[in-house]
Amino acid sequence: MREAQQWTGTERRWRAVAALLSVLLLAALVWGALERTERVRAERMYTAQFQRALFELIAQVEQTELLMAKSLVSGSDPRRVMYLTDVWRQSFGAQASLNQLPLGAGALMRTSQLLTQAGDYAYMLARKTARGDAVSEDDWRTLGELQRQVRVIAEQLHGVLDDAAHGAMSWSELQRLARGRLDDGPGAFRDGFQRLELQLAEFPTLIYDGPFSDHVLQREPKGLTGPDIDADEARRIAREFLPYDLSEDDLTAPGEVEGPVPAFRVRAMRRAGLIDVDVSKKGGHVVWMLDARPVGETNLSLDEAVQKARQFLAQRGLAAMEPTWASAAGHRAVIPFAAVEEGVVIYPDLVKVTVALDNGDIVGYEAMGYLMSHHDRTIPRPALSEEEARARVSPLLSVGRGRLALIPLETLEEVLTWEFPADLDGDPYIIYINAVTGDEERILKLLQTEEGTLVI
Amino acid sequence: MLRRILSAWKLVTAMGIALLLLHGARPEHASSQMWFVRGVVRADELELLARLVAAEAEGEPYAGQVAVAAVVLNRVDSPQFPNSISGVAYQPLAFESVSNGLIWRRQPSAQAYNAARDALNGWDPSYGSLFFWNPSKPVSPWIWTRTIVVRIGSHVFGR
Repeated sequence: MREAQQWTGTERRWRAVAALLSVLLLAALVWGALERTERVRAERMYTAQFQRALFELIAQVEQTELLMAKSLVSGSDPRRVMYLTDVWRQSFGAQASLNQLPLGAGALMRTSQLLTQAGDYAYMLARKTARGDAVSEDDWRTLGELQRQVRVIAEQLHGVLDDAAHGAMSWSELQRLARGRLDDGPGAFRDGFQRLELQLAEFPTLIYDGPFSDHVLQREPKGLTGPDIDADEARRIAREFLPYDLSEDDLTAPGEVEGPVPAFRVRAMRRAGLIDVDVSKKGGHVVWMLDARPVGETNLSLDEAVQKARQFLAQRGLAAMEPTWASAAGHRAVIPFAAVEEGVVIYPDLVKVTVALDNGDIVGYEAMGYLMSHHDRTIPRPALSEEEARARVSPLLSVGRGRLALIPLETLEEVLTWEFPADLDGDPYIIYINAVTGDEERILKLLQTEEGTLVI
Repeated sequence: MLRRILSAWKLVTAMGIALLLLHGARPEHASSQMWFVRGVVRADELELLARLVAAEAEGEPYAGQVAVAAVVLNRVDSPQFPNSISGVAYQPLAFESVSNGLIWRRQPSAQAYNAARDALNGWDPSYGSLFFWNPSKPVSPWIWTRTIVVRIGSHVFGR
């Protein structure tokens, strides 16, 4: 080995380069190690979130089942209401925790649905009991059914946890799932939930009066009357519907819709933009229309926009409709109209119109509400007069003039009510008093926001 | 802005028209689609929805953008999914653009905001669909078990 002083100039340069590269390599390795530590820490943190969701879910499911059992055996009505309300609270919490698990789209739908329906059903029973209405044997039996299903969830979740505790499933699976690698490797966690979904699918569907009951979720359109039409007819109807001069060639029927309302999708090309119109196959009703034309400025007042919308509807045979609201945002005004029959406003029969505030063009139309609900109705006579109904409103409020309105409940049942605008210390409200029973059916509060007035 | 609100309010009271918006918040136990009108929306909801539309449906036909927003709202209303717009948007593995942060990198266009507003007001070109996907991109085979309702632009919508 030669002495260092004996190295030639070239060799010294190469040694310098090698030293520099080693330093750089070391730096890169250190940096890599630090980055990895960061990543592992971040991963552990969010895996911990999923673990938390899982443990909360188990606790909430168990609480739900316990409270359902107590409400079934309780002999006291006021206590029953409390237990049932708590069932609702716990089951909705469980559903929220469930939907925080990283199992991918569609893996938890049946479980989620059961938890929501259980809470919803319990809420419905709580309300019935609180009102003093009769709760039937069938009602309790259904609650028992739901409790059985909730118990299935609890058992399956315990199975998953047991596997984790005994090492059959490691928490690293949760990490893998969180990274979106659903199909790699063993999946006791994922399989456990799959088994649960399959088990729950064995139970029959639930029929009851609540917003999440299957009959509400799958209702048929009542207002869809008339003979079936074909694609050419659909194009003709769309052409007549649109407020523009269009030739046959401007419209195409590019598609069909196979949904709750089978329809033809008609597209109109205009220089300003594309317009899509859906025309129902049954009866040739226009379901909705959307004009993509950009609207850049506001030149019309809301009053003028409402007039334009009224005109548009009247020209299409919908003259007996009253505007219920007008809000403007993005230089467009959205105005919903409700049908009026015998002086009663029928809110379920709703049609919405969008007016472009630059020149008053109608750029949107939506009639699903109307097509779902409109039918020949016998509107009941009010059993209470306006004064009698007004007396039922809380004395804290100062109440304006009332009018009759038919409103839908969550169960889709329609009730006739007296509608009163009211005020408390400058806060506006709307109160609905049932015109037959005098019960307070609904309270709406109005909030001023930047986008207009929000009603909650 | 204030004048517009006041004139809207005046319009409403002058015509004796009652406001019938029902906010789809859970404690009232009613879905936003149950009772027609929403009219105006909470700014945070609109923002999140518009961002999701901009990230997931950029360049799609307007009806397709409204449909994407409607799918989010249909999930909120469905017992099978989370009960709020943020719950649905942030459900793990539900939207690629949420998990990779794309929704915050892209500024939504005026059209995206309008699409979100129309969906919040009840327009639903997807007819109640709970899923949408791009058939020409790799997706999990499970999603093809859903019934297809309609195709708009490059997305297929199903329930």
